[in-house]
Amino acid sequence: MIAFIQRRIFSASLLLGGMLTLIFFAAHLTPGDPVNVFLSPNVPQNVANELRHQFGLDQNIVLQFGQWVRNALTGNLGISFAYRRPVLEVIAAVLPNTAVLAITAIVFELVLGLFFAAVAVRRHNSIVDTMIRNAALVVSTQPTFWVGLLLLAMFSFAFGLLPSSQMHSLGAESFSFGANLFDVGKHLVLPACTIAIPGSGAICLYFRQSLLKVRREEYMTYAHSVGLSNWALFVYYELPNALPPVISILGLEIGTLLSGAIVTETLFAWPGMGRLTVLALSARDYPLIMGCTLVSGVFVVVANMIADLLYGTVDPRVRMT
Amino acid sequence: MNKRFLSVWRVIGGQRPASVVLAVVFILFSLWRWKVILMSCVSLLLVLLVFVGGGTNISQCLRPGLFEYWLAAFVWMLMAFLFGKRYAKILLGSGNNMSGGSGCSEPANEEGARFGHPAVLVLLSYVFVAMMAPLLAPHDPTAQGDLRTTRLLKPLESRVTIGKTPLIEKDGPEMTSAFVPRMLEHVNGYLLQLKNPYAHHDAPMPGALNEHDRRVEVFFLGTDDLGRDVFSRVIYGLRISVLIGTLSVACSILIASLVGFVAGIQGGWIDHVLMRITDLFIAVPSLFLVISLVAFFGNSTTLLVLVLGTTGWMGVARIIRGEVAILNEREFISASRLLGRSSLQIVRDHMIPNLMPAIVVAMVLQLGNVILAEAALSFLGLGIQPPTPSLGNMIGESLPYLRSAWWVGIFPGIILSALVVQANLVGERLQNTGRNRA
Amino acid sequence: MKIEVLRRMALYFSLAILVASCSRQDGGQTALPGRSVVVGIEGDVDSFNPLFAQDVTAGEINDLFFPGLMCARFDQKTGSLEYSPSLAKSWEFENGNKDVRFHLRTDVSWSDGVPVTAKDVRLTYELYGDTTVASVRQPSVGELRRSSSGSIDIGQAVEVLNDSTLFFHFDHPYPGQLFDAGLPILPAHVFEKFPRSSLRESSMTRHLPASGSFYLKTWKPLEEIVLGSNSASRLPRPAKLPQLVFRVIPDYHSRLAQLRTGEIDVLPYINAEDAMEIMKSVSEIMIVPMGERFYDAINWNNIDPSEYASSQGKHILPHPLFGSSNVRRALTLAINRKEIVESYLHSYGRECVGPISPIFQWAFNDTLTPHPFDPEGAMKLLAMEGWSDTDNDGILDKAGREFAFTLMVPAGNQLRSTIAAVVQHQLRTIKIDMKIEQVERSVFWDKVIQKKFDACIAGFSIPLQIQMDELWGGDLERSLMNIPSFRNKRVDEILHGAKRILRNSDYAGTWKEFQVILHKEQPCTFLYWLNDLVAVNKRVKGAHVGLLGVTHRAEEWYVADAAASASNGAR
Repeated sequence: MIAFIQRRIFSASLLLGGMLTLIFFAAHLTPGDPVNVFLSPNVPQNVANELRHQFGLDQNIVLQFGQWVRNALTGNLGISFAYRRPVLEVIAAVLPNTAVLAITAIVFELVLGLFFAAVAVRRHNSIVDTMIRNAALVVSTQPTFWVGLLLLAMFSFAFGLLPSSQMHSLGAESFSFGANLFDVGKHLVLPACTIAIPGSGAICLYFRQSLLKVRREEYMTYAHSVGLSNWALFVYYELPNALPPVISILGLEIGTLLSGAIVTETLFAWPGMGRLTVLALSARDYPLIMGCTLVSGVFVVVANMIADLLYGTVDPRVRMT
Repeated sequence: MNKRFLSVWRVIGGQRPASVVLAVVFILFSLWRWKVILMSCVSLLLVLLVFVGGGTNISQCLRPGLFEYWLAAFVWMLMAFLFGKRYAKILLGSGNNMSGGSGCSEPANEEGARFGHPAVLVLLSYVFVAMMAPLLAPHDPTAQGDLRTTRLLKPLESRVTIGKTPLIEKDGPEMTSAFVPRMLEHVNGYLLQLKNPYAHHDAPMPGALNEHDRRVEVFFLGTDDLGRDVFSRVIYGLRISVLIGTLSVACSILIASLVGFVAGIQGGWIDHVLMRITDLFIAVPSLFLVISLVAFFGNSTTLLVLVLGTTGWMGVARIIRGEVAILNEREFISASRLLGRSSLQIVRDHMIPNLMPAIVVAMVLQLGNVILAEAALSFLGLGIQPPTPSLGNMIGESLPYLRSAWWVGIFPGIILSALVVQANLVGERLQNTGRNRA
Repeated sequence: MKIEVLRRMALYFSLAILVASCSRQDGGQTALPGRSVVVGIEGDVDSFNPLFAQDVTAGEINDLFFPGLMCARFDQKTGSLEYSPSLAKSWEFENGNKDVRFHLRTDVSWSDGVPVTAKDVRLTYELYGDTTVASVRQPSVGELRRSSSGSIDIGQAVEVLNDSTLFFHFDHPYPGQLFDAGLPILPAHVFEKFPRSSLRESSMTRHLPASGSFYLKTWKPLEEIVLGSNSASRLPRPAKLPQLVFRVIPDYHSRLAQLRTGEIDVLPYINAEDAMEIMKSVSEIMIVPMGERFYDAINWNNIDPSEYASSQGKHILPHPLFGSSNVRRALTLAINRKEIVESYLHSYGRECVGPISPIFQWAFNDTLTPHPFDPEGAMKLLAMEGWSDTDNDGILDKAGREFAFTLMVPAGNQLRSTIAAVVQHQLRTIKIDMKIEQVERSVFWDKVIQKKFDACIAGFSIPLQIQMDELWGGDLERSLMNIPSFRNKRVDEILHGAKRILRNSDYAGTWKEFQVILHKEQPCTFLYWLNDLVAVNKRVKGAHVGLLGVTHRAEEWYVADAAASASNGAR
């Protein structure tokens, strides 16, 4: 088990290193001067050159990379060009928002997906089963921006039920804790549903398939013959055996979500990592780009690892690889 | 006579409803657009004739705008042939074959069942519609009407317009020599003319009041912000999506197969390295790569295909590698090796046939993903550039009009969802069939 | 049985939570004092330091914190800027107008109690001119007197006599002297403590004492900016509003939706179509035009880009397509600008014939009529230049080269993309093949500066002082914003002379001649003047939205009365 973990951590760090190198050189070699972005082009050249010098952009690119790595290892991710604050600070301000959105979305997905899958399996091969299966199929293939648009049009524009953007209402800092929670919750519903609805379709399908497979196993017949109730069967036998594939998918997904669901965040103006990354990319804000990549890379890799580990715990056969 | 008619009817009724509906729609559409279809077919045949006969000025006939008409004509003729074959058999033989009538509709072999399934039929019909776009679309997708009067018309709204004489002169002097080239010129001229925009105005133009130029234009799904017909744009958008989808999937599968086979067969550290590279590609957010590549190389269809191809191969590669690794352990592979077959031959003769079902399934599922990805990119402004219609960028452009002109965005969205759902249904169906067989 | 009940209860419970969270938007739920005004802006402010702020909104907000020596007003009748006292209570021109003596008020202090003196002015201008600081306002101090070696020496140019009197020594008199002397003044006692090279990164900008009507109360990055009323201010007075809030809402449609529901009171840069719809349907919102300060044009690259690039700017050849003014005129004739203006701008824009805005009534040449929409005329002109479709492929060509090019459009502006599509269509009728390429803004400006393009759509927001040098000067290395790379001797003479005049009105005739030349030569096809619109909720009174910006003189804003503000929530 330990060896398994060690192996995984080793490949994860290699992966992270490779990704950072790739992104660094890709970002720097892309046309578009970060200095131009926030200087008007008619400012004299010496000002632009001074800025470039201050940002360290006039050095050799490999040297710049070395510098960045050295700094990063000590925890200093540099100063963002666009925000003029330490990158860590900028990301830290924004990360909790993404985390909240991601976790809520995952919870919604799980609940919806598991629920409908269980219902479908319970009434296997009936009309309900077919309906749920087809609905899940249709729902899981909807593009996120489409779902978001429809939700916006229905709930926000047409009926004014839910707020259409951002995270807090006005004057939120003067709210009590409870009111604040409620307010954030109100803003959270639409974006979380936008992510959760297509995801829940996929989870429903996977879980249903998994459950069906488990049902056919011999130990299920045995457990049933022993006289366990339906509920006990479900909780103690079906669920643990059917969950692993779902967990590995969820693991992947939470990693991706934590690096920022770009389309959803753009549509709902949610101040999260996705929007920050897009802003950094268009502003060619190299320190911020690298910071965002590092953070999202870490999340994706860690999530993968945890998913693998969980799978390994539950299913010892996997540990061999 | 009556009995024969009834029997035909009953036989046709015994067909799967999907194919009947499709046949009826096909006939109706052919009747509606008979002129264009006729011209396209004639153009195609004449060009082939000229080509074969080594005749005059072949380059004159090869205008870029004509290729799509030829493709569309070819597809139309193919469809007519397929439908004709099926129904002709029934119509001609139906008097005797009552009991076999329903048998005709459900061929015993599984191949037919697979192709007869509604999902596959619908998907294929999408593809055919996409390829017949120039014939099906009543207007040119980029033709803008008079901005003051044709913007944002509701579906099924019509405009009475008076055609202004097109500014472009007729194409070239008439060739007086042979009949075939002259006919070809005429036909090509008509087809190319269809693509030329007219400037229409509601008010009568002084000096141009030719009553024959007065026409009523109906826009089935309304018009968009620039006065362009939404229906035509959706059809052309479908075409682009299908085109980009298939090309990207081909690209993906190529890369995935390469990586998967090599990793699976070689094993050892090559396998390890390739799998880590695969993981790397999975971990890197594709948006980074896309934005960088687009900034580098500019926006183009080729780039888009490449980008989509290189960001979608990972899952398939993993699957292929897994399966190949398993197959590698089987006895018949070891036997082949003992016989002295090279790895390449083994792959070609043994692995690929065994993996074909899995690869096909992966391809079809990936098609759905790629179409979605292209739509998302176009929505963000990084994919197909307007004014070329793509389902994604049509939705993106419709955002400002979500409240007022809902039709500009809803229809592309519905078609997009439907396309992806169909692809996934087909993929799943193939998967199940494969699994049942195995 | 039990499981079914449990499951159902769980479902109902979660549904209940969902429904409960869908309460109707209630403005009264916020704890904001009802007398605040909320402005919806697209992006966050880039800096609260006038030294570095580029963004228009940032500039307006910083002006509220740090007023300058004078307060400006644009007089519509004369079409020029008028100045009234702010920090300086009076000023005189001396020494043949090369020097300006300012008398400062002595009763003004920063919000932390330290009095505002001439030393603040001097340090501020030193910072503006310092190359290590690399301020974006460096060009503004370019006309101050230089030292003998030719470099800017603010210490000499801005001379402090005593705490309340100072001199600005200029190199020569020109109309913009007061404009350049009116930059925001910063607190010296705070800025002198920091090393100049690290000013850009420093976080001290968030806690600066203000001398203006507002001060920065809170800033939540990417979310909102709250300005509070500066009770100690004398420039001119503490703001009537207790709070002015700027909410960052990147998506335009969300901003519009929030305007309708009353969550925001002021929405700058609203589309003409949406503005008209709101005027018809919502009576509590009024639309205020800001004035025609923005124009868009299709810039044809007058010079050959490859030749320019390969010879590093030494060798300049005319562009094979757009080098001739006849061709450019033909292109203008082929584009129906009237249709564009009528369809998209309605009454809030007009066709543009040149870079001088109609707001400058003294300089605007109203005898010039825009080129008509005349495709036949365009074809004739092109034929005259030798362009015809010799190979019958539907595209004009001449000596083997086809009239095909790419139009570069900066991404992010809906109107420009639409217009590009319209123009492409209109050019196709005269057999010109134009492709559209949307590029990211940073790549766009890169390419424009290096002249690596054929044609592009670019627009400018003009300053309130006519400054044509960077845009139309013939020296391409200096005039970096001369996008079409237009060179004309007479224009160069005019621009050179513009720096030496004493009064604006002296040059009226010459500016009119300038416009005639541009109208004839058509270096670019000017499209339209855009009258930017601001939607303001009627509960906000006293707003002076106009040419000087949205929040100009925001200290005068106030909210009608308590009853009106309570009913805000019921919407």
